[in-house]
Amino acid sequence: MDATQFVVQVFNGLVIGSTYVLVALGVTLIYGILRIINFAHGEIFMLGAYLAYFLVVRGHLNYWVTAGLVMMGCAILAVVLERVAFRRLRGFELGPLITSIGASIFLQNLALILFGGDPRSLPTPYLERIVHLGPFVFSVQRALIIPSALALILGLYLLIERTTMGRMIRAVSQDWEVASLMGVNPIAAVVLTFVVAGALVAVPSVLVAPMLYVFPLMGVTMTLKAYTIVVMGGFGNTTGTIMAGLILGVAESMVAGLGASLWVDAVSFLVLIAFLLVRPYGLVGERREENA
Amino acid sequence: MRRWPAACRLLAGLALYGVMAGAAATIENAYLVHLLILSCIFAVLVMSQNLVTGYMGLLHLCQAAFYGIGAYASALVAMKLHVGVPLACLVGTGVAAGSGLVVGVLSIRFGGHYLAIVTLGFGVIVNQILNNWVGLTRGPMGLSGIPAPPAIRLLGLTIAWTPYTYLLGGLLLVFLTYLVLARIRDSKVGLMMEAIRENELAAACVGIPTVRVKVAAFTLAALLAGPAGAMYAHYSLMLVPELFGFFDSANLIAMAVLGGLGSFAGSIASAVFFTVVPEMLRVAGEWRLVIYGGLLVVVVLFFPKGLAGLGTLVREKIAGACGRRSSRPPIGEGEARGAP
Amino acid sequence: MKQCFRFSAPLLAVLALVLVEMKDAAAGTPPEVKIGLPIPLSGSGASIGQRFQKAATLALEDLNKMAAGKMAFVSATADSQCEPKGAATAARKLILQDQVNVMVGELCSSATLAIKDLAGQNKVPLVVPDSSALNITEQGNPYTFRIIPHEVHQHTALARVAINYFQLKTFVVAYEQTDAGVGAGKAFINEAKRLGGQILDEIALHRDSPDFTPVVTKIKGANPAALHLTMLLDPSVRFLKALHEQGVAKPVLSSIWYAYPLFEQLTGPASEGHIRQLFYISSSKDPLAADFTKRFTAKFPGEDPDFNHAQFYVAVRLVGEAALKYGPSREDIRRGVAATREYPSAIGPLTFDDKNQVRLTPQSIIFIQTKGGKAIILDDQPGFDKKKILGF
Repeated sequence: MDATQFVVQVFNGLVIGSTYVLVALGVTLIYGILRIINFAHGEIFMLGAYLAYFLVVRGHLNYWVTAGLVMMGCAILAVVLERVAFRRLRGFELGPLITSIGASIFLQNLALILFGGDPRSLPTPYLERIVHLGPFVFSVQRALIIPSALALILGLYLLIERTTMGRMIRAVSQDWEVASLMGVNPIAAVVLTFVVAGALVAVPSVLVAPMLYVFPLMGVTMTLKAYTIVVMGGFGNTTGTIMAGLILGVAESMVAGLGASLWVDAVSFLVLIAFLLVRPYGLVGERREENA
Repeated sequence: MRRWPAACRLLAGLALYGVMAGAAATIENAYLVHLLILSCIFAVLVMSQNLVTGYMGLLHLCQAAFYGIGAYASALVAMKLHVGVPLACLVGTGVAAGSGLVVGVLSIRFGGHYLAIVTLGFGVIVNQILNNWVGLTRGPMGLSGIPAPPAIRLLGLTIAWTPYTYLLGGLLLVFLTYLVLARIRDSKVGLMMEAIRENELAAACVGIPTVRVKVAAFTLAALLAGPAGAMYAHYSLMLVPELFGFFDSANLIAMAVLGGLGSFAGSIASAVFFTVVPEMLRVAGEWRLVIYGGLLVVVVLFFPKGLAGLGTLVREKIAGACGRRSSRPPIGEGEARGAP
Repeated sequence: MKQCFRFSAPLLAVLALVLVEMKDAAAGTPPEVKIGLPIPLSGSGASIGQRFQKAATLALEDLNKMAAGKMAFVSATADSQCEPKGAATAARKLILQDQVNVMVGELCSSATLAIKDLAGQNKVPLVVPDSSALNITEQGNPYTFRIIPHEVHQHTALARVAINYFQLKTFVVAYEQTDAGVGAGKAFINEAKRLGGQILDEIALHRDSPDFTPVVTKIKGANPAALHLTMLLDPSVRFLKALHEQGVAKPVLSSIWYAYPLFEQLTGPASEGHIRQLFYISSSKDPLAADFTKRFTAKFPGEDPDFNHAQFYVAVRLVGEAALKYGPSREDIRRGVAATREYPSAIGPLTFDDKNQVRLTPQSIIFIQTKGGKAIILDDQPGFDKKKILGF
């Protein structure tokens, strides 16, 4: 791999990584507040993509209008998921894990029956416009990803750090009981978190799906990557998640670029385990008390 | 059972095995026998998963990897080194136990969710090795032509390996596993495990060797998964890496929880239930997995103590009806909590 | 004793199952031929499994019309999930519980291998309509029949077309790391090298890669004249889109994995110049193929039949006709299928060799190239002397 190829592969990696980050941020926020990993997050991604397909291809709606509608749709879906699968299970640690796995299987196969197994293409005008920038070649569609991710991350930061709603979420994430004693409605904070998580994962659905195609099992790999990134970044830690997602994306790109695509997953986990051995609380996590 | 002398327990166990073997002999439907064999294998796997997750309270996501290592090791040793199947099974068990030891050592450093992801990673790495080291395992093409066990010569009789014989072997494996685990549960070690589960720091403070217990638990879980894997290998005579991935581990956890964490009998019931139910759901055609997913959600929401919880409810109702107070509640009553 | 309840759960479960044994259906008055269909209805092969079902429905209709009351053809379907464990369980259910007379399936080679062993042990004939791995028939199993040429035949032919007709010299070979993928890649490489072609790189791929751009960047650097690709339809579409985006405009060669016109619809302009070989295409002028196309579209309006439909249809028809001629039992059907010589079908005339494998003949194979989203049948082009190019 020469220098030019190296730089191109890093760029590819950042694009892949940005997609992962957007999916993983939702998972990390949910973990922060509920201490559970949502295995059905990839399915929200998948259903968002199907919604985008139907709105664009069947409904002939404008792409950007669709993006907004899909964000709302995914947010609603996330809230419904929380209500059905997680609400009753506070205190039962492994319960939500299993219900989310069950929900994941349920949604995948329901999509298979309703929409059929055939993949669908989601065309957008941006796919065909190719940009040549020195050694970099990419479609406008792909070029939208990094700026969108940045915009959303900025938006998330502002929401969490600078608004009252963000403060609610942070409070309940830190300590459920004390926050509710202080007058914060914890359920409202949870619902809000799911709304944000759903909206976040809608963006990759809409942006990335045209580059892939839409099919019922498209969320499966996403969920696994998201889980890895959330841990690498430190559970519940958004900054860490972002860094971890980008690092993972670049690492995968490098490995695939060297021709060893088959070992990509193993390498990701080795990197992860190495990180954990060196910095067990994630890249930027703080030490948490065991048995709190 | 705990209050009986050892000899009585042994006799009761043998009698029960005899009854089940006899019942099994009456089954004419060979397809059902196949399902029961699979149920036995999964019963062993779910019980060993339960040991670590239910009793120790540690969530580990690589049980399918231990199972796979046992299966592949046994199959490869039998095929490449041309040793007999029984010896190959022992080697497979040993290799699986070794991998359990490795994970156990890793568990010293990590707890709670970090352990979950590390074990997940271990599982993925094992799966990738099985998939990519084509020279050894034939990768995704899988190993076929695995030798079946040789006929048993006992007391002048030659017993060939029919599905019924496999079922007997499976039942035996389930019994032995249950006995081992019940013994541990009722011993001092079991108490130590429960103490660690409740509060590791406090347990260490009272002098419990937490490190040794954790390592031992993982090694044992893998040691028990090994024979299950070897049995699967020499029964189906074909292995592919796809059988031992992350979702298979997740499935085992689901079965452990749905059987009732901390209840080994519940684990057995759960394994049978979740092997047979998807098959019975075949009548639903393409809705099969949709119903299965929905079932997982519903069962956890409404039966959080799992099948063991159901069993307790039934027992208490009957005890109440008999006018007696129920005995000490089973371990499954408490909730397993992982360290954060 | 209270403690006995602890064992009651598993004991009750086992006894309950014993009592809940499912019974077989009684046979009707005309001899019934039950055709078992272990096909993927969930998971990654589901979309093709759905096609198989439709094809089977049409074939059964035709068979019952042909039989005119002498025999009753029914089917029993079991979801085999395109992987060995699910396939083995599905096959066991069909053989032991449903007592089928014959089986037609699967799709994924590893699943087919699992079923083939069970079929042989239980003496049930199995006809394979769509798996291409070599070792399904290579050892010569008297109960396993395959109606399409296997991967070595397919990719040898493809290599000959690439080098003899298109005059391509340098190749990058990419395949998914599965039975069928690796076999296909190796077969192509062997023949291409034998004919003097040069293999610049051999890349094993992961179906689940979310983004193939890094691999495509590497291929771009190698700059081959053409690319040989073997991967399931879905990830291949992503791969081709990545190729297109990066401006790699070289022809891509593949065999039967991509249904026409679905592949073109999904890849759009990325499919330009794609060369592939099939055993059936809906625009084929061959009388039997055209007849199948007409009747399928009449029964399922709005659906374009592709080779998955055609191959499965032919397989079910074949076993049905064997039953009509030789008898309904498992052994009768096996003998009947094995005796097949020059059987006229929508995928060409079929003859089984001594390994119960259909060999490649010029009539059975079709080569197409995609131009502007449409398939040009190369066989019809002037200058394409199929017999000469393939060396018959």
